[in-house]
Amino acid sequence: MSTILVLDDDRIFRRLVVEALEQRGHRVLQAGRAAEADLLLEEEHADLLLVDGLLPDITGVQWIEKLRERGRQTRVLLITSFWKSMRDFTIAARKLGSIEMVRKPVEADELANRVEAALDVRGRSRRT
Amino acid sequence: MTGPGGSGVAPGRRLRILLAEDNPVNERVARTLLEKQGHTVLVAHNGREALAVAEREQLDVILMDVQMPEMDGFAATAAIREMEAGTGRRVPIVGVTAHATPRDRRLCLAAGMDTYLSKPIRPGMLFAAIDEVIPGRERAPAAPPPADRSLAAVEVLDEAGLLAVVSGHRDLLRELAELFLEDSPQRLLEIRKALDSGNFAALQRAAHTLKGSTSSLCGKRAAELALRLEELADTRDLPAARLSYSALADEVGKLQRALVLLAGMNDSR
Repeated sequence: MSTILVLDDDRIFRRLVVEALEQRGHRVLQAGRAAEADLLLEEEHADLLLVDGLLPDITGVQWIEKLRERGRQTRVLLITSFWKSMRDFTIAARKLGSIEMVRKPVEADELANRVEAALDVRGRSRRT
Repeated sequence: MTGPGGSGVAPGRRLRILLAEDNPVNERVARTLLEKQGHTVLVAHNGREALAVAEREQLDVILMDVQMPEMDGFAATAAIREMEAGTGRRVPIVGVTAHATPRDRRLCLAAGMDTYLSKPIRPGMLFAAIDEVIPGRERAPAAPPPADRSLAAVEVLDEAGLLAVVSGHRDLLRELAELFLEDSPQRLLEIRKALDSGNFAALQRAAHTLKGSTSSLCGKRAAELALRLEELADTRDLPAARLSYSALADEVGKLQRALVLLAGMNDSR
């Protein structure tokens, strides 16, 4: 079982993610704003962050940058649909490690597959 | 959009249509669509005028807005049906309503209308409704009206798609519908405020969130419009964004109603 934090202000998307990941036995933490996610991460450990590209208080990429500055290397799946976030992502991916992009719209099941693949990568790199 | 136009072409004859509508914008939209198909359009601005025109003119079909001053569309329809009683005449009447609720539908049919359309008027649905009520009217093979209608419905809410998303779980469907009913008015409000204050960043974020939820719920049209608004915020095109907003608000309303119906939430109300 892994713990995944989903950061997206769209409650409907979060609800679908929770459904898909809990069905596979994972634990899901939810945040609607970056500030909420920061608070959660002070208290809880997350194996993977599922982050929307455009948040109410900041962009997804900006948030991840801040996270990395604080020394957190948690693997990230950045969810984007908009070309601008994709451009941001390409820049960010070069600069920040452990980040992959997921294109929205994405089906919950497919997303769960991506999450598990990303968790696997992390697991393998930890073992080596 | 060429498909929906197909069913508007009268293969046999041109129609004489009474358009009972008090809103000048809606009147113009409907009249333009109908006249382009070669139909003759008479206009009434309230139910009383509609009744008077129906009394003296030979009509093929009446498009009747249900909400009009002086005499509403329901009352005017009932009066027309009364007038026709015993004459063997029965002009087909299509109700036009802003609220495509089961209650409105029942009222339309109870008043003596033959079918109904929901606003905003779209060409495909308008022509399909006319084809539906005019007996023996041939249908264009390229775009048969029933398919066109269901296509329009699928554009609002792809029910099969959404049922697949929730894997057939009715409880989850209901929960998502409730979230949308709670959150979408808030997002629309944020968008309106952002438009008023010219705050493009806020506009983009609210449109982005709404696009996410509508696309998760398989609300195709709403998702497309939200995406367009998100892009317009990026290019800072305020006039286009304003136009896009009203279309989006309409479409979100339709999606809300479709979700309520699909989730069976109207039963308990």
